[in-house]
Amino acid sequence: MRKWRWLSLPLALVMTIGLSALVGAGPAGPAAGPNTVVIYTQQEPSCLQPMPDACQMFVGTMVAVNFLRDGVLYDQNWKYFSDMMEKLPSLKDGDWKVLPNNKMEVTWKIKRGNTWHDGKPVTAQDWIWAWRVNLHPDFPTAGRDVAQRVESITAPNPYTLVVKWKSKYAFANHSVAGSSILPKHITERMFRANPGKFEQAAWGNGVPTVGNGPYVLKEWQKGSSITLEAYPKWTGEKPTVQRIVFRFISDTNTIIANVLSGAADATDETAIPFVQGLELETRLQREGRRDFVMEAKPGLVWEHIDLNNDNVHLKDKRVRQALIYAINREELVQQLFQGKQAVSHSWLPEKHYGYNKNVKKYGFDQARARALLAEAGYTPGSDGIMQKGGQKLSLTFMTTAGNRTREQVQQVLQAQWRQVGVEVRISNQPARVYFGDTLPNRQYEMAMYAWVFGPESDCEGLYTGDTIPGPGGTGEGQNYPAYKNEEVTRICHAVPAELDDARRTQMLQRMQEIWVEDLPVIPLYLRSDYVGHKPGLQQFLPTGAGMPITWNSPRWRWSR
Amino acid sequence: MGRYLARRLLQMIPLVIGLSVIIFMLLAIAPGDPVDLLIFGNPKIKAEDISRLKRLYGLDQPYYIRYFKWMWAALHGDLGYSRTYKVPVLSLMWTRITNSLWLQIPAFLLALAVAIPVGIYSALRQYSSVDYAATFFTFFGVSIPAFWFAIMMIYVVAVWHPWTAVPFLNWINLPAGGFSTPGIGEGLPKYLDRLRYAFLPTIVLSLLFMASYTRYTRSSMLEVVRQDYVRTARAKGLRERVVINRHALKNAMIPLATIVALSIPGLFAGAPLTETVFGWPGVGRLLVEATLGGDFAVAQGIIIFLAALVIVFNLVADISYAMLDPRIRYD
Repeated sequence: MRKWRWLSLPLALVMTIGLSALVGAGPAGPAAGPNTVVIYTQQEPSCLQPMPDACQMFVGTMVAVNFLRDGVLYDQNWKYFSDMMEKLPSLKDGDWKVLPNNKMEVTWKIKRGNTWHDGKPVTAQDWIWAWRVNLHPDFPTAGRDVAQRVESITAPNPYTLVVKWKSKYAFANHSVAGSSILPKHITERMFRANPGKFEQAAWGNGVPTVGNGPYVLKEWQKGSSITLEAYPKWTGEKPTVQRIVFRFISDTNTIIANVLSGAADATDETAIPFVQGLELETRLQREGRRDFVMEAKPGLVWEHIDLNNDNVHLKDKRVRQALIYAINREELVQQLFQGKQAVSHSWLPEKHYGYNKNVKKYGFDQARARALLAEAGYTPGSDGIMQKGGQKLSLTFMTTAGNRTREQVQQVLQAQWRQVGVEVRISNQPARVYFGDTLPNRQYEMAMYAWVFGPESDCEGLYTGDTIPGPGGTGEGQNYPAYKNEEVTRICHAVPAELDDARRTQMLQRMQEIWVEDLPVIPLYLRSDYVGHKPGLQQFLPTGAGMPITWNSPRWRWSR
Repeated sequence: MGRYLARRLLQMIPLVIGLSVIIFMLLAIAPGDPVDLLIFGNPKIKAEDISRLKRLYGLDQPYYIRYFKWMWAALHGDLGYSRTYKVPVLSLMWTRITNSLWLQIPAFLLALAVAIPVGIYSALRQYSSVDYAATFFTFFGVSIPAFWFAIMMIYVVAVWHPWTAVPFLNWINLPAGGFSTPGIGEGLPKYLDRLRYAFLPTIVLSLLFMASYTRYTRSSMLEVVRQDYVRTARAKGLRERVVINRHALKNAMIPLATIVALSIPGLFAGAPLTETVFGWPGVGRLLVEATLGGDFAVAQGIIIFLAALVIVFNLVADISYAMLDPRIRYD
């Protein structure tokens, strides 16, 4: 007993401290108070600089758009606007001119009064500096194809930019010079010290990282969270929500637990994959819970199956068409996704300005599939598998290993192809191998994956005959199916330079007509992304189009 | 013993070098380098940009040149730079290892504090209800997957928390994953906050240690209490507590000491699954992310560090064995 007496005091102390550590706030309504929004996401940005490719993760943009504004954004209806410029230049207004030698000149007027978070004014030199950095040979970025189209940028005064383009470019008013913005007074010294290691510089990798947007980067706990606070001198719409906290949890189930416990005010597109988002939405509805809303936003992620057009079977258009007739895509999206991911009939999404709604539609018709295979010279073997010239119609079907949704889709399609006598062997690979080696070297027969498009996307590089990569290819690019069509190649190269919107739309529509007939790729569906938020968080308007959910964060507010 | 020690230390050098070569090559020849993955995201990238990027990242050089450059820098204390986190690998590893130790050390100590007395009691009261309960617990602990248990703990404790119906318990609120509350500041609030977040993952990790250590302690104790010298001690009239503590326990702990020594490198390796589920920024989670994300410098640095630790603690285990058992001598 004597022994325990002297133990009891320190023991009580330990227990008190230990148990008091368990006390925490239990949020009902906003997770962290009426002035804060807590957003959960799976990935942490590697850095927040706007240009180096190593930083260009989508989640980086979701964070950065709050504290760094580079000129042009688009809203939930894909309408472009600017909060840093007086207006977007246009051909109609004369601030966008086509010069006699096919060059262009675009003039931007910068709004006065905008400052960096250290009080220095935002001027034309900041945009010019960013463009110069982007084009520096030692700067590690691959995304400078737009910046390379610019011949020069000058600033007749601190609030005017004159951008001279080497040739016509249809989207010259969607960014200043394809290069974002950098605070020259802070980053010039860092960049000149070591251009190749600029992505490792202090700016963009922690606090302080001076921006010019409605929020200031307040805290970055690496591996855990980023906190932004409202910038009081923002000249645009003053933020109502004073703090935005991004929390990084790499496990989806843990994010879902946080949603269910009320710790998450919102989740972005990457937080909860579609299938689990669907399950969560169903569960919330079943339990009658109205404290969190999950919405499937149709996006620009196009799930498809590349067909290697050099393959002995797949080089015949009739075989490719037979493959698409043999599968029931409508039933697939209904059974697996409850119809929340729309079947796609072309490579562009419906919302895209260039989408052609009149392209040929391939429905589910296995009789037609068999007829096409017969026409192509295939006959069923003793095992029911089609063959021609002694070769079985047997194809390897690949996708990224570990992706539950894709694996389910593979199984469904494999069974349907078997019904028309096409033998399909599934062989999946880790994403790094698949995207880093297999696809670029075209070591596949059928490959399922997704392209992420934007409102400006076109087919140059994707379906042009001179951009087939890998052994025996014709050049650098992503034409993995090795699709060759002269008219399509010509159109795809011409589209980016066509300034007339109507004409450009027509060109893309014509290209899709040919493409859908040739069918180098089987279009499957457009992926929807689940975004969630508490219903009390108003003006939360995901675009579903590559612009992050935080594009209009200054307008967010909590309802009373 | 001195000569043995010197011999083992010398043997470590070629072992670590050989491991570094194997690890470097395995990571380097894996398909899909960082530039290949960048190319995939941009259909309009040009060939000269690809060459330029490969040159900037040093990926255009032969493997052996890259290895020697890395080795030379490593010998000068530079394990390279993290492409993902934009900080030196050493400082990143140090931060993450510290975070992992926040979980691992309490879990380890808690496990020992529970496993040893439970194992001893279980062995001394073999086939009693306590023994059966302990045996069931150990089978449960070694059988269940860590990530499943982690998720269940999150759901029960952080989402369901049935005790909130009990008035004097409803103030207990544990977070469902994470590392700290943003804006918590410094000092005591920060550490208390950290304890809150560490509570659940520590319990999950300690269960796994507890189960296996209980089992080892029990079986080792069972073997020792049947020895002649223990019977002799009892026959001499010594109290049971003295028989167990002074005669049996020391011998029973020899195998456990070896196992504990061999477990220590694992403390520094973190717990990838548990850290991922709880969103705890430890070194285990870092290794997985670095490997999947192509951050070779980080993956390499961690793996080589852990390999070196395993080699060192194997030696420590051998030496501790000799210290505990005077019959064992090394030359």
